[in-house]
Order: sequence, then structure tokens, then C-alpha cells
Amino acid sequence: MRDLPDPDEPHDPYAQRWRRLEDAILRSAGALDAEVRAALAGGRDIPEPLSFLSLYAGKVTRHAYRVTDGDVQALLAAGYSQDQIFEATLSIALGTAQTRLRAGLAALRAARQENETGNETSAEKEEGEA
Amino acid sequence: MRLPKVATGQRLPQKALLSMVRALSRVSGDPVSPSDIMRTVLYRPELFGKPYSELIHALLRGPSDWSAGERELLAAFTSRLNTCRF
Repeated sequence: MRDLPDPDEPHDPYAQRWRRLEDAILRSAGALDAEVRAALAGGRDIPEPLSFLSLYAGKVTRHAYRVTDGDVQALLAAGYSQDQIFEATLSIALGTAQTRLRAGLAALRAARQENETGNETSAEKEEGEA
Repeated sequence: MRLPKVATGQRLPQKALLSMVRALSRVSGDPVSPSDIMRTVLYRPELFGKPYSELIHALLRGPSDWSAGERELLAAFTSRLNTCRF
């Protein structure tokens, strides 16, 4: 059976593109410091004076569809520039996507392992019966 | 939710592309304006759009045991679970 994709594995066919996307969003020149972008992607608290972004991060991570014009207005009113909000949103979305991808792949791996163990047990049983 | 800059503050090549899409959609009689996702991909492409499109293209159209249609269906289903229209 073919190996499951693994974004953390350098030989994975998609790993290189994932890394390029991550580099661009988190580390290319931007309006937010790379440390802040990395913290947003990693779901860590943002230190003052940017801690207001943590609230926004929680919303984008858990239910992005509930983000409204009002949330963006509040960030603008709090003094964040549009490019900072754009970068923050991308960083949060990237981190969330990576977390979900890893969780999904881990679940698939566990299911496959369970399946293989199950097959071995039934094969042994059949042998015993024969 | 739209950032005004993402909606209108595109650079010249992206602006040209967006107005071309608008013109084409008028010709085809399709009243759809360039989608928000397209504006997002076109805004500061070196930060997001370019590497994102390359990853998505590999995932949806690259070599795979799944057909392009099956992969689109998986993506649409996932979006539905996320209450996302795309």
C-alpha cells in the first residue's frame, strides 16, 4: 500500500510546495514581524501591543465563516493596517490548515494500522480453522 | 468580509487581469464579478497567491490515484463542512 502524504517528510511530493507557501506567508517581507506571524500560525498568544490579534485568531481558527465586516472594522479601528490584517489572516489560516491536515493524516494512519492488525488476526483465525 | 485594499488596491498587472475578467464576464452574459478568492490570490501574489496556486494545482491536477473530479468533490465536501462556499 502506498505511503500516506506527510507534509513534514522531505520526500513527500507536496512537501516542497507546502514549505514554499509557508515561507512566503510567514517569512517573506511584510507588515507584521515574522515572529508575530509564526505565533499566529502556531496558535500561540501574541504579546502586547498586538495581543488584540489573538481574539481574531481564535475566531478564524474555529469558525472562519463567522468573521464579519465588524471584526475587520474593529481591527482597523484598533490601528492595524490592512496589510497587517491580510498577513495575520493568512498566517492563522495556514496554521489551522496544517493542524487539520496533520490531524487528518494521523487519523488515517491509525485507521490503516488498525485495519492491518485486524486483517492479520482474521488471517490467523482462518489458518486455524483450516 | 473584504479588505478594501484586497478589493481595489491591486497593482497594475493584477488590476488589468481583474478588468479583463469583468469584460469577459460581460461578453459571456455571466454577471459574476471577479470572485473574492481571485482577488485574494492576486493581492500581493509573492506573499500568498503564487505559492498557494502552485500547491493547489499540484493537489487538484497533479499525478494522483484520484481523478481531478474526485479531488474537486473532496475539496467541495470539506468546504461544506467548514461552512465555506468555495
